[in-house]
Amino acid sequence: MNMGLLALDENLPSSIALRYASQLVEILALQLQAGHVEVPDKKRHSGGTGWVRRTWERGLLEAGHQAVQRLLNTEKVPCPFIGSPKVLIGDRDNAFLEELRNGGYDLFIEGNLNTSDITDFYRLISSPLYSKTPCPILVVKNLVASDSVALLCGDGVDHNTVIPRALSLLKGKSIHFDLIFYRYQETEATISINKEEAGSVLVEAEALLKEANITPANSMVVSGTPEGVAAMLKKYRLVASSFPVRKSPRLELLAQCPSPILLCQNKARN
Amino acid sequence: MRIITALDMHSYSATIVGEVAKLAANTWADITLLAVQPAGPDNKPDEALVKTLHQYRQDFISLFDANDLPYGGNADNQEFILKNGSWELTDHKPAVASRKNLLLKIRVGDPAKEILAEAREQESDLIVLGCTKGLDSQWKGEVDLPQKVAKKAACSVVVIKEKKVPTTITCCLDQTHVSQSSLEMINQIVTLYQAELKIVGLTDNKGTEGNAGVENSIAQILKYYAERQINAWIKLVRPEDLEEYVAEVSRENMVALWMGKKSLLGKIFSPNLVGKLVNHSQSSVLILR
Repeated sequence: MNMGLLALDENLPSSIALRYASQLVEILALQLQAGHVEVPDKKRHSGGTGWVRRTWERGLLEAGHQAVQRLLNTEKVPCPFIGSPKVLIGDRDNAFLEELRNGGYDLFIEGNLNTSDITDFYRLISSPLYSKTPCPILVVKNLVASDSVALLCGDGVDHNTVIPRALSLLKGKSIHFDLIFYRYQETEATISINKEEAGSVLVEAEALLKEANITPANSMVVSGTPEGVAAMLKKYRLVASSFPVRKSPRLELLAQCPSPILLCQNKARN
Repeated sequence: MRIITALDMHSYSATIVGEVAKLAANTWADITLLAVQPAGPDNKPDEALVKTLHQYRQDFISLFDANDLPYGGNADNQEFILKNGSWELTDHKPAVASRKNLLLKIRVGDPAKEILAEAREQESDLIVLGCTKGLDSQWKGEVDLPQKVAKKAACSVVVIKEKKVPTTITCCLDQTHVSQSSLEMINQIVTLYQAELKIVGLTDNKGTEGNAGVENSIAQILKYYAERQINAWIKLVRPEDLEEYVAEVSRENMVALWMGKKSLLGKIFSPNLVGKLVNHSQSSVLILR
């Protein structure tokens, strides 16, 4: 059973992520822990020690618990958590990183709305939390209910690492996998082209799935603009890829993709 | 709810009658099938137009189950009568007091002006009109009629592109001021086409704190649609990117713009830009007011 940390704030992205995660636990071997970081207001930050500081911290923890509880009460989503929400204090990225490292989580889940500006997405994946995470991150942009998952290949994705990682999280009842090798085209309409365009990548990826007793529903090379292919990807419950490390067509594709995206490490991180 | 369906004798008008019937079946609206003829010397309704309107009425009625018909359904072979300068035929059952009104009307004068005048006089909620397929959205023989109506109407307007059934309704809403009737109108259009709904929110240039307000408003809109079993996609767009974004999505998706008096979109999209959008959209356009 995998263990996921679901980041919850009192906002729309968290509301969507909560609903999505509640569906996910029904089809995957996944247990969830809710987490929230209460970021101290600098002006109100207690510089004191002892009783003064403990009282200040208790106040922050209480505020954090109330925020998460308000969200859960509003959403009324039957999402089974393994315990009461973990409320952390400090910088959001650092606090979640520490929790992910200490808690031995297999997955971090958070909501993030799709925007028209890809620099928003670049900023997100360049953040300390994303660049140093010890586990894959699932970015929930929209609520999608589908039986299909897309595994992206090519353009910097090390399929030998990413596919086994993704499968270890996603293998569940009634999930179908599509292998998609993305080829950038500036003006062409989105089309599926000859698989040989992917070289040996799709053959190797199919072999990795076969090792896990999975036959992909589709294995294809898709050519088009990032916007066009991203629109095509909206039929998937999620799209798995590696973390893009530079500005590239794949980064733009993932930024524009309306479906949730699962980002896995290309190589092991320490 | 009052819906005016502006019609002429071309195929793009004939095809929207069925869609108006479906909308009417869902909303039980009062419907006017409106045509406009040029002023003539004999002061009589144009025979071809009368025949066409009768046919449209029959097509409209035929899409209802006889037991569910909220309109009269007994105006066959009846004649139009002159009333306040326009020719009218009301389809109703006086004996049983038909529940809703189906009015056939022929106005005389300039088509765009007369359509707008009828909407104003009836205080209608929606004007529906068809337009030619392809790159240019027009009425044959009337230059830029769809865009003139969309720009100047005080009520909502939907311009339906011939032979283009939308699969997605991309809906740009000014989250702060969006009205309940606009949300319901979109609900009806989504139901009519069994289309997907995409809600486009405008990001606030104040940054993350400003966006919290936008997100809260979208959350309320999502809740409204979730209660109606409609799942909506969300996208945030910067105000300076909106015009380009709308132009891009209008190639494939039906675009709905809320242009109410308090709408920020009203400031971004001038009436001329609305006209441009209607003219050059390759899909249907809904202007909400």
